[in-house]
Amino acid sequence: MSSTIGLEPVLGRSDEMIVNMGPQHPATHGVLRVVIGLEGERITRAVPHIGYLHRNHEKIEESRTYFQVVPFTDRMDYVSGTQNELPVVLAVEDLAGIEVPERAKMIRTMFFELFRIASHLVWMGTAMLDLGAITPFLYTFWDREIILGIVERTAGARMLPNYYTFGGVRRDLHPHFFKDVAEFLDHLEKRMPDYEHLVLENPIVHARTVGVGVLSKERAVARGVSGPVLRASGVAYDVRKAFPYDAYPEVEFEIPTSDAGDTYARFWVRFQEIYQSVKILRQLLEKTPKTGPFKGRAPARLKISGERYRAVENSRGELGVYVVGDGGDKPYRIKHRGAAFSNLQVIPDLFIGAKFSDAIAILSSLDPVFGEIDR
Amino acid sequence: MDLRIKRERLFDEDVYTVHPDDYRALCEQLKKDGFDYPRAISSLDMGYGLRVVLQLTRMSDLAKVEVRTDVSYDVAAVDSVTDLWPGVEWHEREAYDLMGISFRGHPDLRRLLLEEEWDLHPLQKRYDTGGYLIPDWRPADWPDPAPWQEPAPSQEDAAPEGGEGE
Amino acid sequence: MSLLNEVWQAVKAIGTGMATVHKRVYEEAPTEFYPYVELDLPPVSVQSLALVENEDGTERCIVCLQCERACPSQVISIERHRNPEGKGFLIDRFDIDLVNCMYCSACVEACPVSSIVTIQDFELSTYDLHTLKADIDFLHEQARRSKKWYSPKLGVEIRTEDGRIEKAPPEMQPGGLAELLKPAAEEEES
Repeated sequence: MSSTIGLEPVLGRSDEMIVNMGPQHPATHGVLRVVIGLEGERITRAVPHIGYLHRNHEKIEESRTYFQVVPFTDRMDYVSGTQNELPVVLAVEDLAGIEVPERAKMIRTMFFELFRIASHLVWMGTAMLDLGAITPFLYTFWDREIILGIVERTAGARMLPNYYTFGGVRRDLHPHFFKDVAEFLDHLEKRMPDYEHLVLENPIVHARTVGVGVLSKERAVARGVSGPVLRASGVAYDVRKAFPYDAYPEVEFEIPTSDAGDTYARFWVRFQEIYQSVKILRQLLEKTPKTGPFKGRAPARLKISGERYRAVENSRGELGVYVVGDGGDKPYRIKHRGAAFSNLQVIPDLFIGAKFSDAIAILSSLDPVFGEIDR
Repeated sequence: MDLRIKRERLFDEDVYTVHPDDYRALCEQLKKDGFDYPRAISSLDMGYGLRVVLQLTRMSDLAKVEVRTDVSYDVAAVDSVTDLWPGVEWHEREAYDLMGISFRGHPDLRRLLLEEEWDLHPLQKRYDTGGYLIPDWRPADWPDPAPWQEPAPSQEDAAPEGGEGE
Repeated sequence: MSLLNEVWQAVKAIGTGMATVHKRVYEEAPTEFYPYVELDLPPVSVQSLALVENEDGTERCIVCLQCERACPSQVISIERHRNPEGKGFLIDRFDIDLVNCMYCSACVEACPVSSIVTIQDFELSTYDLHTLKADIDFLHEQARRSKKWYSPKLGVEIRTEDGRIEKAPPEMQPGGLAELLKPAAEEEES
């Protein structure tokens, strides 16, 4: 049996030290363990280990009906709530031929973008926490609290709302929803310059991130990374534009990309995405009818045969699902393609050659969420 | 090259079902055709064998393709494509871990999510949700036109190029 | 020169940071003094489950087992027997394991008579998990204590001072905007 740490000491290399980072290291997000070979302060080898949060969602979901699968998907990427439900919902809607009213699509998209802002705010706080700044964390969670309050007023829960359903959403909007979101967007636009001062224009952030952990364009594509990590390497691939779903064809937004591919570029792309989300939300607040249907006609017992891959662009990248139905009311197989899961594979590429302290900055720029990586 | 292959079109994806021996050859051909972005490798327990589903995207025109191959329970192994697309490394390890398909030529084929010492592959249908063997589970017979063979009636027309499932 | 520049950069960054902090000090804090301030949770908020009785104390639940079938975590277990007088069923046992419940409110969606509802009582913390294996009395008691609850069929309902159950005003209802906008539209027309 091979060694469980996956990193054997090399004979005759007494200058290399093998160090365990994690799984409960306070500076890592969640429960990631990376076995690192160190030569002085340079990283020579890195082997990531995951699975400390594994619950085998895929097996559990095989024994649940399609309606019961949706709340389980919430538990994957727990920072971005409803975004996880959408791939399953879209795939099943495709296979069962369920029509979704226009208003329901717009409501879904609004929640999707609200959670993108919430997730990027959490990233901003925790990334700065990794770099040693504590105050931005308090401020970003303050603003995220407002989003979660808006979500709770309509969806009933804050982080794991179980809000989307086949054919639309579970319940209609709270009467104050439009007012709340408009107020929040005004508030956020006032706050964003502060965050730019604290994060993007911060000389310490510059010193620790510019030119650190460069991921080339070709390597990023071949490694299958997606989301802000891919766009920071200069590939304008966004599922919202490439394979539009819900109300995205009806709104205008840009895909921010950067050619640098370093840690700072990944920080910058996430900031620009918040601005784009604000832009999308403002358009949707205008376009969404105040009243109307929020749910299409869906059968009470779904029986599905066939298979379908659907993907959405969640806060971390392409979150896909591969649903296989065998004609029963339970899925034959559900495979989740985690965005953070694929992004985390680039750890050896980025870590090797970097300094140990840079590894923390690189890791925070990948924004892993272990509920989704380990599933 | 003469590949044992069945071509279909499902929704917006081209689906190729291929004999496991030709899997690697088809992947090399797709790599040459410019499919550069690996989305995922999924694995399925078909009841008669295990299926590997490789999903690829071409970044230049966003064409999507799905490569399937079926292997039997006894020789559950296909060639690894990690050298063509490094991004499938963890997906292949996950398929090995949860479904028990081994990938020949994978640089580091260890369990990804579960413990190294454990010897069952929980996503196989012979185990229930608790991880216990289902007592009366038997593998089904291999399907008669094999999955990579075109169905008998319309041999020439069964590979529509334009796509019918939109 | 570069050293001077670096010092200037550092001073500027500290200044910007202090200015940002200074701005926030005078803003209203988002935190609350929890036990002393009663949280005003929205009426659709899912904090716990309850079993509502009618105003006259009769059971709303018709024991159709829909909630048991809908539950993704399979924590609801019900036993029933046929009503000897009249039609329908009577409850023998109605247990919800609130420890393993994941508060997805699938049971509430499934209930055809709005008997099982979501309430806003979040103070279920306990030292003994067995107290959270809710039986029917526990669930009735939860409903009697709560002032408002939500179910998709009947919307938000409130319990008035004198014990009657009424439909809540549209400001509290999901989708209440339709009703709120109606009078305004009529006024504009006239």
